[in-house]
Amino acid sequence: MWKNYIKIAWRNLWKNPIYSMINIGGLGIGIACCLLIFQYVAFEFSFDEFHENASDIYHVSWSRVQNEGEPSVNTATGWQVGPALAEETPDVRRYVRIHPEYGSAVVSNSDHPVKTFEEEKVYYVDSTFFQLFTFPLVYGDASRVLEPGTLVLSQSAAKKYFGEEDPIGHSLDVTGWFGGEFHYHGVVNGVFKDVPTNSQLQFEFLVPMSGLFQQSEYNDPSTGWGWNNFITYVQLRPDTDPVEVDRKFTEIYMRHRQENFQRSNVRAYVTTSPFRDVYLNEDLALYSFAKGSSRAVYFFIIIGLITLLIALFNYINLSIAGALGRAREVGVRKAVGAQKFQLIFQFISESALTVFISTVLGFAIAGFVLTTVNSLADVGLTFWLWKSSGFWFVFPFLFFVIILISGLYPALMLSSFRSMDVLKGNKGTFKGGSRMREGLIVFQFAISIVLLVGTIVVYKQVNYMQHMDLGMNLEQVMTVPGPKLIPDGVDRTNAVETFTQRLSSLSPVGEIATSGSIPGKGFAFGTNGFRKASADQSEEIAASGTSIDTSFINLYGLELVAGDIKNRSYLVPEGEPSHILINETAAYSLGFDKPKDALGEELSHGLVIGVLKDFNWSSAHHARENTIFYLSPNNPYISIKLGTENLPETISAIEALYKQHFPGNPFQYAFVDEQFDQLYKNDHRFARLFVVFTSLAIFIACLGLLGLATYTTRQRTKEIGVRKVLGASVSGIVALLSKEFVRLILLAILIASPIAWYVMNRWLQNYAYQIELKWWMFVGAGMAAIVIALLTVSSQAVKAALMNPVNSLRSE
Amino acid sequence: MIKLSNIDKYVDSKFQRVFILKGIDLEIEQGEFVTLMGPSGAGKSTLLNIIGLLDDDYVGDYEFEGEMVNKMKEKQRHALHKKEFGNIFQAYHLIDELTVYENIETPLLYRSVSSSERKSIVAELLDRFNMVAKKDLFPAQLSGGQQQLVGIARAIAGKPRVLLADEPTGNLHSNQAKQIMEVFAELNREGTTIIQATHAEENAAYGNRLLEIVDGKIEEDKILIK
Repeated sequence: MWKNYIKIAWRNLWKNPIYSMINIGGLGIGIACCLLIFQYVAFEFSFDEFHENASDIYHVSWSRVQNEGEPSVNTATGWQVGPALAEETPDVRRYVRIHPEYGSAVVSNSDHPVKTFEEEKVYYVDSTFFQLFTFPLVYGDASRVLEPGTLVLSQSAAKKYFGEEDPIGHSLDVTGWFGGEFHYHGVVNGVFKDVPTNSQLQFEFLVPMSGLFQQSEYNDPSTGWGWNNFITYVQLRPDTDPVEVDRKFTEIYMRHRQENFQRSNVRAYVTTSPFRDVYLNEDLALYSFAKGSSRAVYFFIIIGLITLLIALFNYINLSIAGALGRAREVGVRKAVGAQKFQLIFQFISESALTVFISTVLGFAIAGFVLTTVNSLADVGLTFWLWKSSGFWFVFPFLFFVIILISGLYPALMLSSFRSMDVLKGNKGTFKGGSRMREGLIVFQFAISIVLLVGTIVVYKQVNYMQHMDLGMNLEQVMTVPGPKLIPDGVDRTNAVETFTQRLSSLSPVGEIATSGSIPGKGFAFGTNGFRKASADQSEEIAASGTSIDTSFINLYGLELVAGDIKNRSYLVPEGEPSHILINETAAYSLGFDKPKDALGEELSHGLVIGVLKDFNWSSAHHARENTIFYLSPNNPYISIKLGTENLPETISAIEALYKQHFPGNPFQYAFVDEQFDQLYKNDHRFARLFVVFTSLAIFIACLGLLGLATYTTRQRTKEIGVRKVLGASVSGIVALLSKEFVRLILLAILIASPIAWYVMNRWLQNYAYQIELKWWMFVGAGMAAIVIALLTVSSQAVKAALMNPVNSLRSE
Repeated sequence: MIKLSNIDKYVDSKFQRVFILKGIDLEIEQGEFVTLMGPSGAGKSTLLNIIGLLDDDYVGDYEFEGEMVNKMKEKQRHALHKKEFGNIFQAYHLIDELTVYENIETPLLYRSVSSSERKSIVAELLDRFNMVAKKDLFPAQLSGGQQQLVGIARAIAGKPRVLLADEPTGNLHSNQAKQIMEVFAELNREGTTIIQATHAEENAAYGNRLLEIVDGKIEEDKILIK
């Protein structure tokens, strides 16, 4: 019996090679999409699973609520928070604080200064780091690493700085910048295996926390709660109730901050989040940690399933169409004694064969396009899904479901044919399932149209953001980090000053400015205590900012609404407030009617000497913030405005000058506009993937349409013949055959438009600056769908219309 | 063996009831070779379908070997059909995707006959109809007469007691038709009850009973003496 079924199925596949290719190809592509997406999703969900204590580690964040307003979430805490929690509750087994190198540090091999590089992946951590997290050491003793005066680095960093030499016992110098240069000298006493890609902690160098605490400000315990620059992780005892822990932590936090909070009418809420969930949680953005997006992950899961569904519908559709050709077989089988369940079984097993071949094809396609997907999506996927045991639980189930979905309806329909009806006369013809078929086509195209509208909207939005007027001019601005390695006895400010004076004498160099941060790199500091000097502490608001020099405003094309910075001295007499500039948003937030009114006012952070027209310091994802610019001559970043000619020569001239003035410092340059574009990397990636999946979905839907058009025209050959004999023109027949499909697509447009409008509106809400949804986006997508469908259908229609009616009308 | 009493078959259209069969009373004994004759649309095929248990949408009583068929459950009726009846069609209705051998084998598969037994039954039938050399060909590669021979072989593979043939020679040349009718006569001599519907006068001569059907009624029922 089995042999008979498989034989029939196999021969049927070969009998209609075009149907079979459409069927298997479509399903294969759908399955390949699914596999790739699930591989990606599995990768995203695998983050931080490799830690032995993963289930007991929690990230500590806290929200600040002032005057019963909106809570502002802080993912970082002060340095006192970790120790306080560990000391005051028995639930905490260990804690570790991580202080990223905000910005970059210069690391050099102490014995071979040639090996000097700019490094960003530097963490300052507590000595409990290796007990809490699981990062295997290649060299070194887990209990001795991170002792004061030591340093740990990754295998590849060890190779970079020490070559094949054993790094243990050698030392490195780390020079970072925390409001001024900060120097650390450490002896390497451990090397860890390179951090896996599915770790949210991404680092190459670990410096003991004791090193950071040499800085004088850490002697003052009051800084331990207010300065939120430490990321705190705790390992709780296994049976701890997380809700109870949050309550206790909140209580401890409030107790320590009581005095301070009462004055400003602030409440704090401490929240612990499971370590494994932090990566995908968009609300917990951690500086210099890898960040995923649960929204994107769920989006791709849905897209994957939709693509698969479209492919399945194709299969069902073509099976129904093909079923009519097999009605006679069903009739015969029934007449010779087949029972209904036997027929159902037969057709389901045929589906199983097709699905099996498609699955094999799907795996092949997925393997084949993996590298393309990797470069498109900017990920490093490898196929390991099939090695995991979970996959083998889910996959057979999925396989079974696919077979059932694709096979059940055609099987039921076919097996219900009555032999009496289908065996009558010479040719068994049977009409049926056409409603279902039309429904499936409408569904497929509705989805395709939603995706088309999505593509248009996503592209428009990304384009809009990228070309939005930032209120700043980032063109031809090059930045280099200022020197961090300063020889003893040299004043950094003076050294930079001399450098910039020499630099400005180079002909293509325009203005030169220094600042604490640069556009696209975030602000240098944030505060919750911004207010008018005269105002009550309960009126404090949040603000961010950076230090700048006097040339900065001009170089970046920022516009002053009020005040000026010409001839301003950086030095403010003792006891007088420092000089600051604020943006319009800040002026309004502080309660000034007009931005101008803020001029000359004394604020918590200094005296306002200028008000700037609003600008976008960060990407269009973020709304404008209250912004403070300090005037300061000593800043880590140097920005240089360049002319367009002789760029390579100019750069090498700058490099030569840099090396001459700041010996030992690595020269690393970047262009601000390019760096700013990096902020849209994820959006571009999203848009690209969107296009890929939309094209695939439409391609599969078209395959189905093609199969169906082939089938219908074949079925209507006789009718077409009669019409031609009666005088119908070719174009008339093409129109007749196409009309039916256009009607279905129009219905799909009607269904898809409101869905697309709703979904894309929701999506746009993620952006602070959004485009408007316009009617033409929907009409455009609908027209595109109609054109694509017509092109698909018309080839068949024209073929049928050109056929000689004599052939089709020959008697049977 | 077969006893039909007062069988009516009709379709209701909007304004009237159209009878396809009306008041059919018929008894057929085992071993008879009955020919149904009559113009197109007289109801021959319908009567054959009712006898062959392919159509259960009628009024009246149908007894098979003393059992009331019209009171049977679907499952019993299906089992009875499988056991006792073989169908032969005008358009042969072979399964195009199966070879001659596989086509003949199909009814045996639905009767759960063991593999070795299937082989011997099919081999015997191929031998009997001189088709051993053609066993691996597909229906499209055969002439009409050969296809109908396969149709007959398939119909008798399950060893049914009643063979129902609806215009078995309708698509064949006279020579081929003669050959088919001779096979029928031989099967009948071996004891198979045969009921055929046909337009051709000469086919009736092979049988021993002739029923003239006109407008859904049996007009004439005569015994043929050879």
